[in-house]
Amino acid sequence: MTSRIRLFLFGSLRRQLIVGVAAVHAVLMTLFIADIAQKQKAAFLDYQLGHAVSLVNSLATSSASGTASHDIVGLQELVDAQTVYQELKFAIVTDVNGMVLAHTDHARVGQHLLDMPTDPLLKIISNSLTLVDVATPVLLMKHHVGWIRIGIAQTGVTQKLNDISRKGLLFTLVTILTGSLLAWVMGRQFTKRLYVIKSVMEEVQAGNTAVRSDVSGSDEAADLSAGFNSMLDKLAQQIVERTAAIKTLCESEGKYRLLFESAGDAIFIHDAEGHFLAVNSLACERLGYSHAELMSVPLGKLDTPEQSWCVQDRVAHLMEHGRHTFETAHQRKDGSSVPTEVSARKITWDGQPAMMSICRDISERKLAEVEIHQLNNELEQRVTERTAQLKAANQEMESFAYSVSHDLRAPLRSIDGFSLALLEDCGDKLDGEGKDYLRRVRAATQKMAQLIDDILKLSRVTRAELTSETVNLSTLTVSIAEELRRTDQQRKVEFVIKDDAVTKGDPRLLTLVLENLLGNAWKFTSGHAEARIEFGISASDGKTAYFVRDDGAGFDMKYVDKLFTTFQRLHTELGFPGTGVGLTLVQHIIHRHGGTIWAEGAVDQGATFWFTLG
Amino acid sequence: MENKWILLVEDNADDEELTRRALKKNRILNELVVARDGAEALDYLLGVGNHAGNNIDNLPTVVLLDLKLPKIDGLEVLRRLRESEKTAHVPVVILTSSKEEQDIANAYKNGCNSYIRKPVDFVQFNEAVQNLGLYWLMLNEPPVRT
Repeated sequence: MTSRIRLFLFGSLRRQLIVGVAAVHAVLMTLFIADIAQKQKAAFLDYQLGHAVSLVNSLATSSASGTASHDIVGLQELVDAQTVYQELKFAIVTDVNGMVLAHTDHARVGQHLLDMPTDPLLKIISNSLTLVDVATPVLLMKHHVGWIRIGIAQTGVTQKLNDISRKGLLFTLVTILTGSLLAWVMGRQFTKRLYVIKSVMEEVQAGNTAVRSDVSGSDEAADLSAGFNSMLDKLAQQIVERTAAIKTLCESEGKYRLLFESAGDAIFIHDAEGHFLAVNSLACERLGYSHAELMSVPLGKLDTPEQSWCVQDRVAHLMEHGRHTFETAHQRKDGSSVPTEVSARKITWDGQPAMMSICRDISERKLAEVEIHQLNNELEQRVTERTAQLKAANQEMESFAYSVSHDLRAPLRSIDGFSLALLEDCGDKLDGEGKDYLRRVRAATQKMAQLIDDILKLSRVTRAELTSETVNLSTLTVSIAEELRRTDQQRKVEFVIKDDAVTKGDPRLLTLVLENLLGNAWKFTSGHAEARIEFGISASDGKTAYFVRDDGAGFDMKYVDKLFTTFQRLHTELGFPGTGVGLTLVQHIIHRHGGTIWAEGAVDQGATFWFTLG
Repeated sequence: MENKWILLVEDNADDEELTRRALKKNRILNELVVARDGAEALDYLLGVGNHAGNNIDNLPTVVLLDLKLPKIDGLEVLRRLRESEKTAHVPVVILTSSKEEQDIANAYKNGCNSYIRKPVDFVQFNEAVQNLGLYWLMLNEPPVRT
């Protein structure tokens, strides 16, 4: 019931406004009316009291002598004369002791009034709307001779005051009604704008988020409307953003799923206690478990028994360092093992610390490693074997060279020796032709001996250990040139030798190179009356190239390829003796020094041999 | 004065003949004893084995020693001769076909007195033998025997 009344009174802003205005009016008007009535009442009382005081004083004056003399008749007349005042209730004259000498009520003459004041001063005994009772002493020659007491009662005052109250109530009601009416009108006007916003709100609630309130003006309702619209806009924007974010999140989740599920490696995510939080389908497939089965496998059981003992250590390492890469072997459901390389790292999963292990099946790599290992072993063995063979071959070569140097020469010596013996001892039995044949035999043996020596030299160069020292090619050239000059002092050969051609290499082998090149130059310029042999330096491809140049017989560039081939000769034995080993030897030494050698020449124009060293 | 004689350690009969011829041509007529291999040479010089009881006090004036020999090679013969007090100072000339540096070095290391390579050209060989005979048999003062 109370709630109904409350709903009725305060159910809407309009009603609240009306009730409020009515209540305000009621309170104000009531206070106003009450105040007026009160003031009216006070005014009446003042008037009555004044009237009573003036009347009692006037009577006291006029009755002074009568009272002193106790002229009861005169006093009675005087009192009766006062009854012309309608309001007068009573008028009493007493002596000093309060005995009534005259009274408007004749019957009470001679009685004593007990409630008279003690001091001879004006005293208001009662002052109310019903009765104003005033007593004043009667003084004759300043002697207190008696009392005058007057009672006035204005019977109409209460009536008037009641009238005032009734009218006030009426005014109050009228004011309340008018106020409520005005309040209703204003409330209606005021809330009309709020209702617009309310209807918009209801529509938005119903789902039409695009609608906006249209309240113009600059009052609070307009502000509210604008605020409400802006709130709706923001909400709409937030919804758009939220939708976009959700979409992105969905896409991201989709991508993650795609990556997670289509990864080429098995992925396990587990918490610090070793419980799996997620595994991808490749993990299930590889280990032969269903997803549910694998999720319930303890971490320690994922590895083979041989590996599982170090799972705790790995987890500890991972927790400490954040990431850990290691090789292990996982165990399939059927008990077989998968060699696996694990790349694990610490991550956060649903707000909790977790570990993600990306596991690569390295079976093939392992097989390949085993294979490589085997191959390596085989290779090593083969190298060892081959080295041994080479060593043996080298030794064989050495002993062969040794044999050649000893044994091949011995028969030659015999042939030569006995041919000469034959010539010397039995020369008289041979004709010219026979002697010539024996000379040819001897020449052939010399040639053969030279060939053997050259081959041995070549083989020695091949086998010799290479040393690396500072070598001055210029001084070497000078001394070789002097040596050559000594062999034939008749020849006119000019040597032009570049100074300070210093390099690094094997001094003995480089001496052989220069001996051969300069020897060749010397030999092939022998047909010229005057010759010039030059040793110099030039640059070739950023490297230092040394050269030996002569102006001798030269050669045809057509056959330049054959220059460095063993036993190949471009000239006949007749003019320029030789075995065809020299340049092969030179080339071999240059190659052993990491250098190259090449030649240029023309028939009868001379030849130039260049070489680099490393 | 003891007779000056030559010990030729040579397995090749042709070389032996050519050496003899060269010596003869150069009128070196001293006695020439030939050992066919290293073992025989050692037996002969040290008076052991097949030549036990040989008068080892009569040492050759010069030993012409080939390096490549059957049984015991020239270097080993040289080493053992130098080891033995009796033969430690016998002049030994290596007369060989080899010109291998290693051989030359080893020969001198083991105490040879000279190293001559046999030339193929007999004229040169002849000259070599002539010089050799002149030097070791005529000019050179052999170690004093105790």
